[in-house]
Amino acid sequence: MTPTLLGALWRAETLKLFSRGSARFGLGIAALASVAGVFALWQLSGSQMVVNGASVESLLAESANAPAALRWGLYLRNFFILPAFVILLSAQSLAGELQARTLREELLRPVPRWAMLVAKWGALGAWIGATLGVAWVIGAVGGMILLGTGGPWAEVALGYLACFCCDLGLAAISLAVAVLVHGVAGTVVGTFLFLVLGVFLGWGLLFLSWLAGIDAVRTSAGGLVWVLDWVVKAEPWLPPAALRAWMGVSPATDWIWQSFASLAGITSAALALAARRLAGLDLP
Amino acid sequence: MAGPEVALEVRNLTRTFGTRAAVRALDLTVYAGDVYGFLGPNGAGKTTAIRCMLGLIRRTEGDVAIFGVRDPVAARRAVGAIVETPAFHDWMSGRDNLRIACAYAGISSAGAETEIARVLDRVGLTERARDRAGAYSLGMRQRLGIARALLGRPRLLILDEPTNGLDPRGMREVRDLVRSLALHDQITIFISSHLLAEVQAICNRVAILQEGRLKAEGKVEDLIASRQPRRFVEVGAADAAGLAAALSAISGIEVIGPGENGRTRVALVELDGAALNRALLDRGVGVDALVPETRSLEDVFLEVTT
Ligand SMILES: Nc1ncnc2c1ncn2[C@@H]1O[C@H](COP(=O)(O)OP(=O)(O)OP(=O)(O)O)[C@@H](O)[C@H]1O
Ligand SMILES: [Mg+2]
Repeated sequence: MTPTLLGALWRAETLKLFSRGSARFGLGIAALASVAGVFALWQLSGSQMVVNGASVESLLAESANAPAALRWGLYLRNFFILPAFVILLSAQSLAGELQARTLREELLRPVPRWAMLVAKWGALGAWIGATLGVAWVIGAVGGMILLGTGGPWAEVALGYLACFCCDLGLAAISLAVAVLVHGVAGTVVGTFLFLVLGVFLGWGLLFLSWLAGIDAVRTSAGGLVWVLDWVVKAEPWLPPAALRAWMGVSPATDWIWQSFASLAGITSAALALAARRLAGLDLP
Repeated sequence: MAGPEVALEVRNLTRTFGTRAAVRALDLTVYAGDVYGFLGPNGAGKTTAIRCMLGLIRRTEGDVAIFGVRDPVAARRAVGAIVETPAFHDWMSGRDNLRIACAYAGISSAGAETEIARVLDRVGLTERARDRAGAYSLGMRQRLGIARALLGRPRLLILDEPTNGLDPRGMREVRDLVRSLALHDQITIFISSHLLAEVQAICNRVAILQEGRLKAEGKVEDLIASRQPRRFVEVGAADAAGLAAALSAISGIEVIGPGENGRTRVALVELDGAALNRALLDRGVGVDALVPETRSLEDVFLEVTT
């Protein structure tokens, strides 16, 4: 498997992915979210609405600029809609093709299965990059026209880059689930359950950290108190936190390096698991 | 170098699903230039064996080599294949489907367009290449499948029931195409089919599989000859009563019973057809038909797989 051949597979998978109706629809949604981000910020920044005794306009005065519009666009993009598309497209490109038996047709060729997996993941990366690129262009141009050019460009650009990595991680997780469950619907549900499980784990840790703050618990835990303290620190490493690593773009949130490290780990583990299971799979 | 080159060698191939063995200890040798028929009743294990050969499913046991290459990924370089019904990305055009297949076949993008034009022309689909694959008829899908299998000029073509679901014209077209690929393009062909007349017409060697086991293997004419201990003729005459009387009087034959079109079916035990004719004439019976019964691959198949 040469890099040239891998590149050709990636191009072929990208061509295939972008010709899917769902991928095009998702691109449209990404553009729309960006437009909505600019428009919402522009409307509010000129608003005479009063909140807690201050006008919204004055509250926003500092932050109503093009990068802020891009940031709003990123929030809108990520709250549920685009990640759902990432999961759906990953499911379609692996589990869907397994069901439709087109995966078999491609693997009748002298190509190792892991190379196909990497090509599909790369194609999803191209699509994720395209959604972010489209959103960036729309948000930046619209924001500069309507709101002005100043602001934290570098931080917001970092946010878009981080979001790219987070979505790539989500795609890797979905591909792994797809190899395990073999169905599109099963993959969507399975990935969702995985994320929900992570959230529950997070709540469990929250509860533990509350316990760890109670003196009576600490004394009765005795020599094991270090376990409590240690477990509590695990929260930023959990999958939901890793996939939310891009949230550092928010002025209210710091960049959490643990979440990025965890994202890298989860992504590699998911890809390795998917490749391993795919290698031993009986293709119909 | 002794003997012809081996295109496909299968040794002790076994695949079990749970406790049921779909293919058991299968040994096959296909030589370069063969058109090899792979026969067997429904559920005999043909598709399972083909999947194993192509590395689509795991083998429980055994070895497969294609032109001497054992590594499944590398071995597939020399192979084009259709397994059961070919599947396509239905929302894409026939041509785009082939473009994707070219990438997987390792054909450079510079060479891809000419290669696609070549295979489309070979199967007669050039005019419909821009249509969505999902809108193709069954016959067109089968032909597009063959076109895809031909990408990259494979030396071995493995076809699993390529005429499945085709109309009579479609079957004839596929048969002619396969024959021309073998003769004109020198491609070795391994073809599974239930159409025994077709197989007899195009294959030089066959294997017959039942319940995963190899029941018979060899040259088509040898198989037919070796399983024909007695030869039969059908005799007809205007004077049926006279014919019956004469036949019962002649020694060296055995009357089997009524044949087709009012003729009588006779086994030739010691006489041959010409001698029988002479004996009947001697007894004053005017023979108006003496039809030698030729056995077909179908007869062999039905005997072997009972
Ligand atoms: N994935 C599977 N799981 C369990 N059993 C299977 C599987 N695939 C095939 N089999 C079994 O293996 C046996 C052989 O099936 P196969 O499809 O190879 O037969 P075939 O010779 O191709 O038949 P046909 O002429 O109907 O296509 C059958 O009994 C079938 O039920
Ligand atoms: Mg079959």
